[in-house]
Amino acid sequence: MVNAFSFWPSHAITFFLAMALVTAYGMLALRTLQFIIRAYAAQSLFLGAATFLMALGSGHRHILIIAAFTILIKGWVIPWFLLKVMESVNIRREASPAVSYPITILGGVGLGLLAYTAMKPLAVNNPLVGRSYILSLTLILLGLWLMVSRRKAITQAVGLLVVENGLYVAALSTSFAMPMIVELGLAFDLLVAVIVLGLLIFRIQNTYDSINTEHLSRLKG
Amino acid sequence: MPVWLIVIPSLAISALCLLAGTSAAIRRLSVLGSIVSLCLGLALTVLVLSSGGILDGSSYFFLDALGAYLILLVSILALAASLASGDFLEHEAENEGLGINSWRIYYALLHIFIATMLFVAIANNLGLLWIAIEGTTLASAFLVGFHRRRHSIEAAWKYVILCSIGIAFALLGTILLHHASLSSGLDTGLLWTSFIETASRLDPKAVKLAFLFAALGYGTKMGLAPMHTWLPDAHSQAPSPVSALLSGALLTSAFYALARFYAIAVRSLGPEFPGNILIFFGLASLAVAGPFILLARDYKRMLAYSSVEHMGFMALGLGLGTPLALYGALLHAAGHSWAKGLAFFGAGRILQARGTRKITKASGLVATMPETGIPYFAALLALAGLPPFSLFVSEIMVLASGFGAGRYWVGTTALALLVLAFSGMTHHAIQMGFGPVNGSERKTPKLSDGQSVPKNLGWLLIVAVFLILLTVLGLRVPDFLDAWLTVMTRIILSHA
Repeated sequence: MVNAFSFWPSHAITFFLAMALVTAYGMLALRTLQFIIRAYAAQSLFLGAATFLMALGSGHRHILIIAAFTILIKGWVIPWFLLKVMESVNIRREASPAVSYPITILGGVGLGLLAYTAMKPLAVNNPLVGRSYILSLTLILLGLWLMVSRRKAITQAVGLLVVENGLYVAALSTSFAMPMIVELGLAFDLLVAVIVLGLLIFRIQNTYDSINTEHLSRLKG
Repeated sequence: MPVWLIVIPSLAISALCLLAGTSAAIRRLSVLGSIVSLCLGLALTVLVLSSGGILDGSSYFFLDALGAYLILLVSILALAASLASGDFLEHEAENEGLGINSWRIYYALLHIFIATMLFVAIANNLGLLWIAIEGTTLASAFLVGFHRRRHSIEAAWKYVILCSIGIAFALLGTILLHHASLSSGLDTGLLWTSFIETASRLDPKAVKLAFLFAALGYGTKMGLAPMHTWLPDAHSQAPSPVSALLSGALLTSAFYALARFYAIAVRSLGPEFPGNILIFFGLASLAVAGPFILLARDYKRMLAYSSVEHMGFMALGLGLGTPLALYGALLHAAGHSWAKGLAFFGAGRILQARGTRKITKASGLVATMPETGIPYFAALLALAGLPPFSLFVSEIMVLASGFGAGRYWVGTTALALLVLAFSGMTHHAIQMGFGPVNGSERKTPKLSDGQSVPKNLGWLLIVAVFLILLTVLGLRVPDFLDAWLTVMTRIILSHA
């Protein structure tokens, strides 16, 4: 396969991917919604930068387009939209999370180890690719963890976007060999999903006068 | 004829519904579009079956016997939902004062939703398949939350969040499969048809992980336990015609996606590993659904848990992996689609007439509103698995092949859990059909009964067609369908 890790900026790529992981743990520790959204933007920018370096290394033009899309949509448009939603529902802080902050972070470390164990079989053949699969699953699990440990609907939406970034890392480790139409479709789905979630958050705010998802637990049995 | 034509009528109608001026025009457009879609589906089916192979085999879109089956199941139910939505919305419009814009949005979303499901059936590229399945979630989110009540918004939020998370794992599975082909030096371009040809050369470790993630992801969308938690909320809170589509068509589409992955996994790993995963999810779903059906108090939630049960049973049939079990599972998909569709359409009419979701308060339906009560009662019996309906036959097939393959524990457990669900279902069916009618509820029903026949024509047509289909397939599977089902089992299993 095309090994995008075998040229000079591979250390820089590794650095950017590591920073993406750091921002994910950062999101688990942050309390202000604005910073959580900005941390997501930073994570997307790190992934975009890694993709950009990869495009330079492999010389594939379509990877360059994907890098541009990532930086533009995930680093800018989506965070901007989420900040707008946040301002208009007038909620700023995650006041009472479902799981306390120290436990959230400890749990996050545990999930990182779990991801490492689950994806290790793939690391045998090709350690570099295996490592990015581990990062991918870690981001997915951390995104899920963010969703279950926080109560605000916006934080849950960001959690879902972190999950999506995890998938993006998985696609990145195959050097984006997927057909271009699939990549475009994924980007389109992501945009629509964010809009749907944003509109639903408005409706939750209008109906409940709050975006705490603990209200959303009436349906049982 | 290019196969992507199948999604065009739905998309076009969706756009036209946004422009239409009156609710009557929207209703007519919607039914017309669904009929065109169904005819196109039939034409493509005839083409595929007579050619005996695949249309447009090596590109992004293709159609084989399996895809044609899904197209037909989706478009039959879509036509019925289109007919049923008219009466449904008219009633809601009177009671809740919905304007023309609600009509436009409802029908536009409904047809986009149908188009995404048809798209699932023709996607050859596994990435596009994933995009289509995620598209179904996004298109139906606001249909689930159509009533702007607290419960519907809660259901819609859970639906989008849980299904998007679940399906994320399916994308990871797809990427891993892609990784498996790249690391074996193959360039499949993510096409299902090339994966099938090269499956034996794929890296088994990666395929194992890929199938596990795909089963988690598409299993979530299919409503398999323990990932089913979104399903009872979404199916009970959505408008009833939408519930019917969610249950009868959307879950079937997710099953279809899972079957495509199973076909690759079984050629790469043999039947053991993928089979055991599916049998686990299948039995878990049966185990979760049984008690909830038995103890249900809300009849739409009861139908939703019955979907969990039937999907679990289809996963079980796929997991057993014998030609007979697979034949049964595929036949079950059709029976479930029609019986559940009929039950949800009926439930919608009952909800509108009685204004309650409680089973105990909606009793005595056969006497008070026979036009709705009798078909609803029949649909519940079909879902319980009673003869002469086709679900009985397909359940026997899957169970028999389980015992025949020497998997006595699996067969016995499944049988016991089915009996549990059966007793719950028949108990509630008899309660709702023949239970005592309270004086206060004897008042003139707001809908259906007492109306002149032409106004109920759509409903009676749905009832007649679905009951005839269910009964005919229950008595004898026609030769052409038998051949078709056999071709499909061969597509999924390599050795059949």
